[in-house]
Amino acid sequence: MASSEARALLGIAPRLKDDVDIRTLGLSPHEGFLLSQIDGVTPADVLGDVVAMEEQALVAALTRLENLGAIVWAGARALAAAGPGAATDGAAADPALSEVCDLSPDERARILKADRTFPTLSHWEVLGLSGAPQTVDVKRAYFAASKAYHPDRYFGRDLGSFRERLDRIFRRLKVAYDVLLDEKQRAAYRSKNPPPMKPLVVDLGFKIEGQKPEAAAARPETAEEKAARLEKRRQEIITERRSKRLEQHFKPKAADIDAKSRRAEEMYHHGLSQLKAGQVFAAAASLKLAMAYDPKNSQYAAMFRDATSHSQLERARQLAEAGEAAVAAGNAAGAAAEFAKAFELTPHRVDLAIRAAEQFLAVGNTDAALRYATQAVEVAPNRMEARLTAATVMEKVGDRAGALVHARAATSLDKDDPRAKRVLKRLSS
Amino acid sequence: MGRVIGIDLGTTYSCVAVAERDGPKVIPTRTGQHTLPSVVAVTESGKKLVGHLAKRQAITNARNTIHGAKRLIGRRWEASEVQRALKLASYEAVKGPHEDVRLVMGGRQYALPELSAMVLAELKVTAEEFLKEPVEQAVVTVPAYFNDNQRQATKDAGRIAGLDVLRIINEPTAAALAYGYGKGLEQKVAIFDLGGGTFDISILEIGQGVFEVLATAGDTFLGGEDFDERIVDWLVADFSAQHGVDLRTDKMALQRLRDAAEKAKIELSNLMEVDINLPFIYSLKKGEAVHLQRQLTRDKLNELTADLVERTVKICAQALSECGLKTADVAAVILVGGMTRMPKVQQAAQQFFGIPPSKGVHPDEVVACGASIQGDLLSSGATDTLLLDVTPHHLGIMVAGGLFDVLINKDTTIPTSAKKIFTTVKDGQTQVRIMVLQGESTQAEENELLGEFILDELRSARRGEVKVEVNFDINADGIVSVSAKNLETGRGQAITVTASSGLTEDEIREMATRNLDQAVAPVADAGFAEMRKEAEKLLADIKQLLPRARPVIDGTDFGADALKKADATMAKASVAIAEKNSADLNECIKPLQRTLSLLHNVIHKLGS
Ligand SMILES: Nc1ncnc2c1ncn2[C@@H]1O[C@H](COP(=O)(O)OP(=O)(O)O)[C@@H](O)[C@H]1O
Ligand SMILES: [Mg+2]
Repeated sequence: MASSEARALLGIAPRLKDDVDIRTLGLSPHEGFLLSQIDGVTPADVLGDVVAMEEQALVAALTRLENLGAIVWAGARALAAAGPGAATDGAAADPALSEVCDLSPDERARILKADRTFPTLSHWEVLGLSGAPQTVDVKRAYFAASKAYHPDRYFGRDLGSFRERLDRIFRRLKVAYDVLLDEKQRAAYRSKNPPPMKPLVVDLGFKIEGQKPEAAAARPETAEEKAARLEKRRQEIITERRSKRLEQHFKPKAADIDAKSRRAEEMYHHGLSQLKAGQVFAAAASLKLAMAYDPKNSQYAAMFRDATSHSQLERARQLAEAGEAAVAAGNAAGAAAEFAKAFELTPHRVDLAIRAAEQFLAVGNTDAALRYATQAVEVAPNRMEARLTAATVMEKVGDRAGALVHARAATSLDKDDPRAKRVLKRLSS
Repeated sequence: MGRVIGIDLGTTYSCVAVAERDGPKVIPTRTGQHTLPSVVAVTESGKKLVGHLAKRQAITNARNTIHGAKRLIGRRWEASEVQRALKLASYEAVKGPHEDVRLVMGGRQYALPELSAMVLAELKVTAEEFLKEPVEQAVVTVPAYFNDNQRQATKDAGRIAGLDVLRIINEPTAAALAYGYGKGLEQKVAIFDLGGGTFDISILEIGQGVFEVLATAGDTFLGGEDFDERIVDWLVADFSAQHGVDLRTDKMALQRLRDAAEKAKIELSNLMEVDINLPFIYSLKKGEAVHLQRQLTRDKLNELTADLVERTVKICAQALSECGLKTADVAAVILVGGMTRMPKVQQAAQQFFGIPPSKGVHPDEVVACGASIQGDLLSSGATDTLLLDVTPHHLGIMVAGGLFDVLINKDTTIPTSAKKIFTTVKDGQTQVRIMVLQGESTQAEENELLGEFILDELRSARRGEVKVEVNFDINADGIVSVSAKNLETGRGQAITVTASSGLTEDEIREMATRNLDQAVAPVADAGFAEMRKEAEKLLADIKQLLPRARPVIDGTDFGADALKKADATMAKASVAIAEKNSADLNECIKPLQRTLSLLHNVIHKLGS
């Protein structure tokens, strides 16, 4: 595939081919690292950010990976079909763009893009959801997406092959909606496919109302917007910092080492030093590669597990930090989501469950508050704060009996705590 | 391109609206009303009448007057609903060439889409006169429970009337659109529609300009006419107890009873009691005329119809449970249909949902208004509002044992698709018949057949070995396509299920041309001229009979009163004719007809 075509695919997520033994490919550490980050969901340009590759280098690496048969591009069939000589600028290569029909070039490009990317995206992503969306968010997102892609929007026009595409896109949206709308199904799906932390970079062609677009007018920033802005900046800083670190450790080595075991060893040591330096994410990635090159080495595997759990801890720490930032900015909903995710990663951290419960309670999501409060007590039945939170939440939802049990437990754990005493007094009056 | 009109093609009344810049507007009929009776007739002289004119002459020309055509449209002759409806009908019906129903007026057979087309054509002309430009496109509403065949038949009716029906939408959806359009609502609403013949309840969710249907339910045999019938029963039973006569055996008397019952019911929406007076309802053998005179109170009406009202509430509960909601989730209740003016019905809805119904929604007009909005949205390519409609019934195929296997569930948002793998049931079976069905019953035969085809050339094998994949697809227009594929060879067979209205393409085209030929450009005054002719004929007939009848009737209180009223109406009619006042004249026609039939009765009695 010509590299210009690969460039056109930057907005699309590459996927690992199933039956490829990547150890046989002879990849450079750069390529290896890139490969390790490919999850079928993250679009290529985002991957570039993650592994800190310049666009040119990224395109080259992706092209090589594809030529090696290590990755595939979902929706790339259309490009392949265009064959040699087709226009080279991204989606322009698609013959559908020059089809005779009643759609503007913009509309065509948007539909083609959605049709091509949707199959590679998770349910969250097709609806443009991120963070910890609730039922109302799912609904809003689906309505916004429907307005953009329901065939009625193009009623009475000759749509040619785009009719079928729109039908397909809408159906994909509907599947995502049906799964995510239902609380049970959503939870089940989430446990296997966690939603992205921040909105996808790919423009899905619709805006979800209620989730404010970036401040367009010169009006005072609301607390929510401020929190969002801070959070965005924070993410940027993290990315910047991460890419700096990656740069340091991935300066291409001149020596071309062939032996896979040596390569594995190299990656392993990389990982170790990264781990020492506290760069847990990078370390996990390096060790994953080491494992890939030498899967039988149990030492690598053990270290990888270690690094993963470290990176999870680190991730949880970041999330908790983001949660506190959100609390400071007055965005309880955002904070609740961050704490909840942090707790999911580190289920022994009772303080995170408590924070999540408190914040959910603050936004009136009593179901979630109750869930996290109960979990907090389960994790640490002898923590006064856990009991206190449970008592408070249960009181809120009208479960006086339950509240009383926890309030009693709280006061017995700490006889002097004034909050516990207050709650108990209120409940037993 | 011209404007798109919205049409509520009702069982008893129809309404047309157009979206103006400042919102939808109902187009008044030629006689100045906002709704048009869905009644068509052919007079003795062979003239076709539609709407008020047709309704007015129903008593004297019952055999050639058809109302409630909507109850029969798109149904097969054998259907139990058809046979049931025909039993009560005053007109003649025959089986059509495609198992469809044909009704007879003025000695000619009419297919049902043709009859509905007469109403649609009248509304089209009304709109054209109002807008002063040709109208070719419409969005027409149907009850949510209408199956594909009924929808198709309604579409065909549009074509016969010279209208391109852009979309058939559900009445409740249209009502919700009219209620919520442009208001930026984010809430769930219930549309409670009790009309002349049917009850419909739909639950919708509105948000960001999107209207999503969550659930629909209803009863096709629960409407205003059932309320009327309860009153008729009550009158008939009482009359029979007093006089030993069953008024139901006399078609003319029955028609008068039904009219009086409906009138009383409507009046009881405002009054606490009404008098029902039907002079000369029956002539006894001795030649003595019997009058019917009774008082009906609102309480009595509520008592007679309590179970009907109760049924609407049950169906509401069913719709809510289908979409997993509680009454508290519903933020607004919108009442649609003439029957929702009955206080008891309003009360029942309010009690069930726990909130007072929304004010400011006109029950007779809201559906047409919503249709006109949808027409405008579709034709203008609007991007801020969207209707997400659903499949009204389960869709699937017949499987072994005569069972119905559902592929697409009721209330699924369209466009949608589904596939499922089936297998042979007999050893050596080389073909499968795919029968596409729509309905709620688990028994295939009790559902509506939409189409069928055969997938053959299967490998002869043990049963269960050969696998066939069946694919269902419904596009945004609600058109169903079905295909089946032999999974061994990849060979497939597909049909687009063109639901059948009971008419062939040729027949529709022919009817459309015929309709066009007859619909010579209507003059603005056609309504008045028509009425004037009728009024003048009535006046002349009355004047001729009056001298003979007056001395006889004057003797009774009843008669004296009737004469006084008749004189007043005749005077009013003459003034209206002189002043070319069509609204006034319109009001006179019915009383004049009543007077004439009264006189006829008296003279008849004198003669015998
Ligand atoms: N004020 C009223 N009070 C009670 N019933 C009424 C009133 N006005 C009309 N109706 C009844 O409403 C029914 C017609 O309702 P409509 O919505 O026009 O029916 P459809 O849509 O089925 O044609 C008739 O049965 C009529 O008697
Ligand atoms: Mg109606």
